[in-house]
Amino acid sequence: MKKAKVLKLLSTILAVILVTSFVGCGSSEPKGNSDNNAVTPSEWPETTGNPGSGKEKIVLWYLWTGAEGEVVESIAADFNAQSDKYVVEPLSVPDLQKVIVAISSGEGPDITDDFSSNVAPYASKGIVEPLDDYIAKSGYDITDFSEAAFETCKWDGKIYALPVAANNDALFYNKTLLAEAGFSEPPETLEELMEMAVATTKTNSDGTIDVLGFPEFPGNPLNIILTAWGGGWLDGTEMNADDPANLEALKYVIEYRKEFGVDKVAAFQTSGKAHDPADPFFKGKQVFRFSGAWLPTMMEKTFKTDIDYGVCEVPYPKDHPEWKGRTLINASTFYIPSTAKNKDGAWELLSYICSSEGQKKFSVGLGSIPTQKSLMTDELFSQIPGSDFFGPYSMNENAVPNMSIPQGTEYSTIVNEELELALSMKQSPEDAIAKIIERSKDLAQ
Amino acid sequence: MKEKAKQNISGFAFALPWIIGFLCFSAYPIITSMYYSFTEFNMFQSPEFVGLSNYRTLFGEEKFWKSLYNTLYMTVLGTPLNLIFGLFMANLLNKKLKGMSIYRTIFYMPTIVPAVASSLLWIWILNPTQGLLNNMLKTIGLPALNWLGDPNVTKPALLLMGLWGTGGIMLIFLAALQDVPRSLYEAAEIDGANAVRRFFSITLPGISPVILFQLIMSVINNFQYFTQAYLMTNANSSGGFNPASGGPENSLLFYALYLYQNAFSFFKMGKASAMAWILFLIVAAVTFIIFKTQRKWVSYDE
Repeated sequence: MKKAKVLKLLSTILAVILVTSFVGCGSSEPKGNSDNNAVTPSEWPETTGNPGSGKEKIVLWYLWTGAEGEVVESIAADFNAQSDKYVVEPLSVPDLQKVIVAISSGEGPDITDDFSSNVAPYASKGIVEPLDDYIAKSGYDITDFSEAAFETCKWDGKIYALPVAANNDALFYNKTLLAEAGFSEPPETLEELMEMAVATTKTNSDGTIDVLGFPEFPGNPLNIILTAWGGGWLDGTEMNADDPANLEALKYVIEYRKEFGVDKVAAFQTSGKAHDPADPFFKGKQVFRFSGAWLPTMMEKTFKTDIDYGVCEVPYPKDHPEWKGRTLINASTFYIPSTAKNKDGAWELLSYICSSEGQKKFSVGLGSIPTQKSLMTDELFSQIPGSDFFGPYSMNENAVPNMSIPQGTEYSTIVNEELELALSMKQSPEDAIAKIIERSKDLAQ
Repeated sequence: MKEKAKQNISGFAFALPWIIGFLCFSAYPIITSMYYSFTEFNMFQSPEFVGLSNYRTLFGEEKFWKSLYNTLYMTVLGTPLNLIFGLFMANLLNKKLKGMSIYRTIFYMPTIVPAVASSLLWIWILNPTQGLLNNMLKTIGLPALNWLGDPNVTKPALLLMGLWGTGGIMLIFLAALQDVPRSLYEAAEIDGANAVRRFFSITLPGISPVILFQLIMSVINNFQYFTQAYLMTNANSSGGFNPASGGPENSLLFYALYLYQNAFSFFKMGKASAMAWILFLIVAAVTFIIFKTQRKWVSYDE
């Protein structure tokens, strides 16, 4: 009799625990969103978020991880040190989908980062807080920003983000491989680039490519060549697929594939591992490579590669020297979600990160190019490999802002699908462009 | 009566946690998604009722049918392949040899590797110039294909990867094989049946309930094929920031992957919800057909 009673009691307690645990399961705080009473992990910088300190909390979520994440953490710590009113709680959230879902449910951060390509898609859905009023009220100086980078942060006449780094592509080349084929200078024109690419390509006996001449790795260089040719899939925020320059650029890129075989180029592309010690360019198996300002830092500091490389502007078409230096600028930005709880605090942090002081620390730490004209000094260049070239290049008069449009994701998916068929020569370049125009017709706002 | 009522109430009370969980985490989201499928909803602004527009758009889209084709390819080819291979391996592992437990462990181990890790591993194995698979094929003299780049062979590559992970199916078949009464085999041997005859007349009917179970589970799982495809298409995004890739010429655009893209890359929750309900109807129909035909070939002998 007694045993049965004990068992009954035990099972009742168990049931109660089960029920309460289910109920408690419902509303869980996002991981790491410590309130003032929680113990902060020791690896986080000292935040003076003690109960009763009276400082307002700013929640910062950022996409970077590892060493790059630590740079963001130290900038946050600097902000905390100089702020009497606010304290930042930074958190690395590398999952973009999670950030978006959190923002949509109102449980997101006060400030976060993303690429300028998402400005229009997000702003048009009401995810982003416009910054015009904050800029006007605080008298923030926006004239020091490089025009191209700053333009990418605008949509529909309003400013939705501030650029903290300018990203664009330049031409990297292997000096040794060029010299072997008798070239002492990198190409100035696109025609010269093709000539050198064909001359320096080495193939094996079975036709597979051993040394890749044309910059077809990690992916096809079409969009970069398009820009250099004066074209683009967008002209500002208007769809521009029918620009004749686009067709010219597409035919130009296919030339190399015709010469060496589409399947051979494809095999080289899928068998290489980019940004890895086995990267073909790092191993001297690729002559020309389009890449960004972060590559010199990666090669010299992270992987310590020993190839003799140079970097120069993307070549221009022989008949259009007026487009020398034409390059697409994308920006890394910080923005304030519309569901942020502490927008004023977020603006304080945002203006700090994008000021000269914040950008300097950010650029040196991540090896990126800042967007402040006043930072283009020798002092900065000496700290970031390759920045003495990339800095001025990102601000040259032919730098074009890569504007975003609300249907940007769908548009680039359509473009990529049709181009893939054209580049693998399964449809003609003319048909590809016609299909792009046809399919993107319905995307018009 | 009182005792019966008491028992009912306590039974209900014990089931209560599950019921609450089901209502909150399963039933409510399912009903909501049905509502969303009739709206245009981008997660940030209020849903806008559009009736059957999402369904109409989907049925007119080439990518929708392509994703359905890819998924059916995987199901129709992958399911029998996995079942036959699993059964074959289970048979081999059912013999009484020394060290059999070690062999069983070795063949089951790939199933324990998480799907993400095994996908990343296989991306290396399938590498056209440096991968294990092509190196092996070259030594035998077979053609070394561009598994990750050639749209014609990307799905066969995934089928191959699936075969590697059939440990779970194999294990269940193994248990089922051992349940077939030995006396039946002995009787057949005495009557002069050879190994093949014994297999088709005794073994297969004996484990047919398990085959039915595995068939339905495999079909349902293959219809939801996502993880491996998501990793393969992300790892192979050649150039450019392409947030919604379906692999070479969309050969790896599976139904679940396209659903995910609609939801989180294009912010079209309504369309994605519609896709989810269409999938539910298809899978329900297929499962119903399988159940209807089972009486013909499944024998439950008591």
